[in-house]
Amino acid sequence: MATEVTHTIRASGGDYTSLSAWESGEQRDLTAMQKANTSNHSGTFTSGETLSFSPSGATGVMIETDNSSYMRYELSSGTPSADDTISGDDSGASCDIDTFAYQDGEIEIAECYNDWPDGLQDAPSINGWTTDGTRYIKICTPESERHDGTAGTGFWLKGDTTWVTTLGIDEPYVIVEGLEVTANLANAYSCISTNVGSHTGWVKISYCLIHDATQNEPYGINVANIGTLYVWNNIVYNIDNGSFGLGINANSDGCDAAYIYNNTVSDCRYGITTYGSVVHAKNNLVQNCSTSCFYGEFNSSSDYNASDDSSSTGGAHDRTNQTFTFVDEANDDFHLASNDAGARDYGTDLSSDPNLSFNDDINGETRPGGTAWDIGADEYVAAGGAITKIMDETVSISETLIKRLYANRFIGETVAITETMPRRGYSNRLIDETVSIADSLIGRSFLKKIIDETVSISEGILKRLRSNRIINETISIAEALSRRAFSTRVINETLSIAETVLRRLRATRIISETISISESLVRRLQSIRTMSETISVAEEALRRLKSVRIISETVGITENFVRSCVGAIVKIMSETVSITEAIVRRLYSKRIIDETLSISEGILRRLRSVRAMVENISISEVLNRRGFLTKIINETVSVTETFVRSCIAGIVKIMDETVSL
Amino acid sequence: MPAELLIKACDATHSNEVKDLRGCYKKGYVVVIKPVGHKWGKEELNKEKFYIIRVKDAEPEDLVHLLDFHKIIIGTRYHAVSDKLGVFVSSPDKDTAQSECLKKCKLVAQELSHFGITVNEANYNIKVEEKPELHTIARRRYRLDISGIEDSLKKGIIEVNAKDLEIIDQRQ
Repeated sequence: MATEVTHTIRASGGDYTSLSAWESGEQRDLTAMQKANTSNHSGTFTSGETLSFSPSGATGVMIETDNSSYMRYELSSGTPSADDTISGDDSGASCDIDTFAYQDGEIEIAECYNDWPDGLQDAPSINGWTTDGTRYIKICTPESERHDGTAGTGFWLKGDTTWVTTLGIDEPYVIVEGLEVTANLANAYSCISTNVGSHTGWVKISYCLIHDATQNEPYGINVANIGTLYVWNNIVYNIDNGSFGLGINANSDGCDAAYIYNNTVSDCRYGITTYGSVVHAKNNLVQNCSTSCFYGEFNSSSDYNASDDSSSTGGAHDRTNQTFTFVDEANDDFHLASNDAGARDYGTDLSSDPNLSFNDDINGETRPGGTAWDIGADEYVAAGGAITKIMDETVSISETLIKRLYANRFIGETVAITETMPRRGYSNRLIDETVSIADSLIGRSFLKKIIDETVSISEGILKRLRSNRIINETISIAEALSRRAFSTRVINETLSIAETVLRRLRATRIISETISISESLVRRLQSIRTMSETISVAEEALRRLKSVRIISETVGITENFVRSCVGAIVKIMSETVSITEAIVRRLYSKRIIDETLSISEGILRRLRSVRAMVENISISEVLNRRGFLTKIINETVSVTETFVRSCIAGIVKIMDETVSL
Repeated sequence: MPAELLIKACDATHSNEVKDLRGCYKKGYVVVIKPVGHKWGKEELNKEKFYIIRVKDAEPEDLVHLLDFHKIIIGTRYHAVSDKLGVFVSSPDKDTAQSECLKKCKLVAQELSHFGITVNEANYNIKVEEKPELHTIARRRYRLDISGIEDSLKKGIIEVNAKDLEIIDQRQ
């Protein structure tokens, strides 16, 4: 029995953030996977290194270890023993095997979560694995993360611009369950395509919502090479590029057999196409396909299919030219409406089909919901129909149980009375007869049988009650309604409305949560933006403040410097003026003195000359020349005054220039 | 936004060497490219399985060629379609596709005439489209030589410029 190994695909907090990364990280030979409980670890093993098992001589490849208590490996050759020591060829690490956790291989499960409201942009291609019928790959969604049969309500894989097929399956033994898959990005061709290179093994695709492939050469589900294809309970729609587009395509070139059961296909160029009689089509609903709903040569087992055109699979119970009524076809909700007359109750029971058996629909609701199976992926559960059936069964079982419990109680009481009789002094005869009756009852194992049956019935009821707690509550409501004399029709319609409301509430809840998350995100982004802007402003302010501080300090320093300079200059000037004044004073005095002396000496010389002249002239002449002398004296005084004024002007000029400097 | 490359840190292998080349991720293969800020999963941060390189001067779309499969065209299929009559034939031979489609159209038209519907051959409106048949040879055309930086990669995400990526074209 292979062991299941599950990895989660989540936007955050999971093992992987894309199916491509998961495929790359987990790619291995599932048939050769083993896990040993280990001890005495030495060193650190490295992923992918060759392992040697001694003394058995087996070899393997290291997949995973905690380097302390276990080792998962892919066996390459030989048979490991519980006495073996495992050595890593590259790392040199080693450990001892204590016991084997399992040796029968693994089932690899990728569990996808509804964490991408706009779809996960990814186009994984399953290739390079080794699988078989019991050790396979399963790509699925937990029920809580799964679509409700309409787009945008669960995990959604939407392909990538780098690859033509959204989900490529190139290995046999792969299960795809509960995904929404589209192929509408640039370069996209197909939603799901399988090509394992030969007619080997199987691929199973179920409970999927496959839609919107409208460019290049679009396929919803296409089979190029596989042994057997199983396709059931899928809704496929809008596969059409305007001239081509196949909803589901399988033919004798692509596979040996394809079991295509209970699918709803709508709005494709071709609905279900085939040739070579390999497709066994049952209970499929195909409508609104511009060229043909069913096309090609189907296997003679095909039957109970329905279309809105004249095409069929050739089955005796195929229904052509039908009108189907859905809950909300305009918005791609292909659940059957309560008033549908084209598909409801026209299918065949496939719960015991020898090739592919199941008894539910795309939403997991039990088939049949009415008097017979519906055609298509959705089973319309007639409101109150299943509930009434369960109620009737419950009442019937309860009545039987109560009857048997009464009998049981009677017998128990009889036994109890019998046991107390001796104490009460009844006659031996009475006791003997009572004991005899009791023995007889016990001897017939009646009591045991009743108790066993009661236990069995009780366990059955308990299981049903547990699994149908919601139904029971609904029953309770229905009973209340019933007591209030509402007609069955009202109850049915109420339940129908309640189901629709429930579906919408789920969608609304998802939308609400999405909006809430988006708002939170926006708030955070705004906050981040504000922070970012604040930081930017702060940085700018800081830069400016730094500049201001530098300028301020520079100004201060400059002012101090200027003040110091001015003080020094003033002091220097003051001293210079003082010195200059002193110098000027001295120069002035000296010069005046010198010039005065010079003038005086000149005057003296002239006066001596005059005296000599005077001494040499007569008195008369003296008298005549008094005027001359006076004139000379006057001129001398004038020359002296002019000289003095020149000196003063020169001094003033020197002083002005000195002050200016 | 600069790109972060998720690089395979060890070889996956398959016993069939052709399938090994076509399907298995090898050490140095770029598995996924995301913008900086992507929150990687627990296993994606497991250094036993993957390394992460941040390319400072390239956006994810600049590096998508590193995700290329190596594929070749190994043939051609021809789809002959008559929308008018709802007939579709696919064949590797163009003439066969066209003649088979015409033959089927005639049968359909003949039968339709019994129901009072007349479709002349001129109105079959058969269109033939050529479709290349691609075959994958290798999971990746290119591989990064990380031998020189592996010790750093084992310690955590490293940053490089695009020109420093040592890209090897595996097709010799």
